[in-house]
Amino acid sequence: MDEDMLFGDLSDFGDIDENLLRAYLEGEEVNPELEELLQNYRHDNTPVITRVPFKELWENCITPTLSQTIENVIPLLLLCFVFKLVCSFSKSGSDDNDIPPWLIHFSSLMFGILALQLFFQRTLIYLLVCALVGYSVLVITNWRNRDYCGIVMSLCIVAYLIACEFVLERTVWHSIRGAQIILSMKMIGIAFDLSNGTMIRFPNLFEYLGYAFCVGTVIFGPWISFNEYKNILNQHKRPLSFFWLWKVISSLLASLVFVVCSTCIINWLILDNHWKWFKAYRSAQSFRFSHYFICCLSQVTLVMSGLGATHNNDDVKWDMHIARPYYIELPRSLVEVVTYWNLPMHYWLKTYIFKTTKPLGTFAAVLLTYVASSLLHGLNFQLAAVLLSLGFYTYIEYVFRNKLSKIFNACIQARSCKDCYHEYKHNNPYVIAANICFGFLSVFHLAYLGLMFDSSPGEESGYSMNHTLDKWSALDFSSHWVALGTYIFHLLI
Amino acid sequence: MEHVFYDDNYVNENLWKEGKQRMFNCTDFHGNLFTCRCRESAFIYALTSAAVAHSVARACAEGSIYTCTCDYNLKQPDGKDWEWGGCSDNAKFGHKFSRKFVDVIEKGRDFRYMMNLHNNEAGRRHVTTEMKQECKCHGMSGSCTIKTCWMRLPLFRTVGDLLKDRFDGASRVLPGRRRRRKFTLLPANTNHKPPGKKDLVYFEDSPNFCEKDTSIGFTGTKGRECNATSLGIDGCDLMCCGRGYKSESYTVRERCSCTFHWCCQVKCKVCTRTKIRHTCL
Repeated sequence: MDEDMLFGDLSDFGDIDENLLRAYLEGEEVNPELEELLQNYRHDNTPVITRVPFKELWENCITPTLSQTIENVIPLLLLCFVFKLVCSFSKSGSDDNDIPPWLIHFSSLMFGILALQLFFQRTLIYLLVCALVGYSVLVITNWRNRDYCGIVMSLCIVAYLIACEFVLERTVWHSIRGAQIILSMKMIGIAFDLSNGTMIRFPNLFEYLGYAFCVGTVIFGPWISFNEYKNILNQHKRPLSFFWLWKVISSLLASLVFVVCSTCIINWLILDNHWKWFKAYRSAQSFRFSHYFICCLSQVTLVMSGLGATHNNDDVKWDMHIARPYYIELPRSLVEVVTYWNLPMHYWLKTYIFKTTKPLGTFAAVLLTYVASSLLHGLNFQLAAVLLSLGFYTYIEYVFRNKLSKIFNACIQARSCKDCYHEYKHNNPYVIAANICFGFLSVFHLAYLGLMFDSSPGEESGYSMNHTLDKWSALDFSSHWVALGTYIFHLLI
Repeated sequence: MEHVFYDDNYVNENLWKEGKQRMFNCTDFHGNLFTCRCRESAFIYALTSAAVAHSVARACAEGSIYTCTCDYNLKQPDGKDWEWGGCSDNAKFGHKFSRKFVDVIEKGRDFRYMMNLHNNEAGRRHVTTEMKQECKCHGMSGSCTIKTCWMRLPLFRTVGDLLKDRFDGASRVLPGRRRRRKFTLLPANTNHKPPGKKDLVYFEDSPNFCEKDTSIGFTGTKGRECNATSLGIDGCDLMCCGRGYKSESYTVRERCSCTFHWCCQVKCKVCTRTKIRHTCL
């Protein structure tokens, strides 16, 4: 055999240039040689990932999600509405008191227990026990020394949470955790109010239990203050109105949109074969939308039961917002994300934790706030890791952007400045560009932090530590490195 | 009916995939393997009925069949652990349809028909049990206060792979007691468990597929290409059943040492190579 035949004609180059490639890809020109070449490049056994038709998505995901959500939520909403009607019968302040206040509080408790029964069945006993233990702690500390009320209560709650973590089955605990957080926040709030003198009159058992199990907040939250709760006695000042109905309906619709986006649409738009950062963004966004869903739903239950309004003379404004998705999806900074994530919770953390620990220094206070927040969530490595990371990130971001804004005399702090004295205001193109860049940085951090809430099999019982670390190491811990880099840069300038 | 025609492609595609490395090469058959009672026919029965079930379910989900019943009113008994509340019936409908459409051919009462029915059912079961339930939790800070779930049809490729595993582990059965009009299937090896609902069963040992067998329409392995270095079933020793093989060399001109140049060029040399092809005698 000819040597040349065996080893090929080396001078014969087959160049495939860009135009040819493009022509092929656009299907203009069928080039068998090129096709063959591309075939060689194609792997044989990669599973084909395609986007299912929308009709199928609609039938297999959107419809069931909607119907399941509505089916679960309708009884709760009815309970809230009936509770509001019951409250409207009470005319506090006037002489013809139809229903005594204790009965209203008692009915609040009863409706709350009914709602808990709907969602958690027998597990609700743990919440009841927690509330009762909490009340005895209140009574005892109030009798011995009022000043320690808040601290003692916090310690008791943390101990109770940790005990639950070990005693209860993981799935069970994971399902009531949300309700437990709200309950703990209410109890600690009352305790601190008592110890720092904001609340002078000691609440009786009916008021306390009515507040703790108020039907509008008991399942999905939000946290409300005891003072806001007492408005259930003033329901005649908050009659059923168009604005009330509008608030209920718009929040409900928003919540449904969010739940559909979270479960179906986001996973449909970004497929499994996309870039790993897109997938991280997808998981994180799906988690965020699920959170907005819960926030909107809690808004519905709250407003439905006649709470969450502000009074302006005789005007009632139903303007309660739990979360601000807009500021989280298109963030200015992580500091804002943390604030708008859950406004009542943010207020609670600020009032009861941050202000209490402020004397220890800002950094320590910020850190302790995040520690408290993660303790509230129980002994969950994943949440603790995310929250502590957020604590560091927000601190770094805050100091770094503060420094930058002083150096450049521009409005680029973490929070937009209220009365801006900077030379470059927020409408300056450079300032806008800088803020957008910081916004992207926040989106990057958020994708990284929210990545592991990805509905994988561990979801129902809470994720394990390995799950978190696996997910993060798949992204090379890049966001932590970036944060560290930012901090070092901050120290250098 | 067009959906069922579409199945044929499905089946062929899969048989082609599964059979490529094996001695029964699907292109060599002309549809008569159905009459054999061996392992391979068990596989074909299962795959066919699975394909019918799968493609009908899929067509239902895509909305191209309007007669599918879609019952959304599946009531959930418990508050929290509710079952699937969507159109679960697509899979059920596919299952039922396949049962009617495929099993109807098996009209006899003898053991062989029972076996075929068993294999058909096994194939369909793989479709319905591989339906993936996917759930998502919603609640404060990632807790699981409420859960929403939905179902997803498996890829047919997955079903095919599972059936292939069952093919490898298929058990030989003998007719057991006759109960009313049904036979029980007893494992031929008494140490084995009776076959489960998803197991494939066969009665006769497979023909060796070496020689031409007109009764099952098999052309034999004569002329099949084989791999001289492989010790497996695609190797020349086994494939040609010891008849030996002939080797011939041929030359091809093909692209080689391709390199990618930024951006976007692929430069290749064209080599003329001599290759050797082995075919069974």
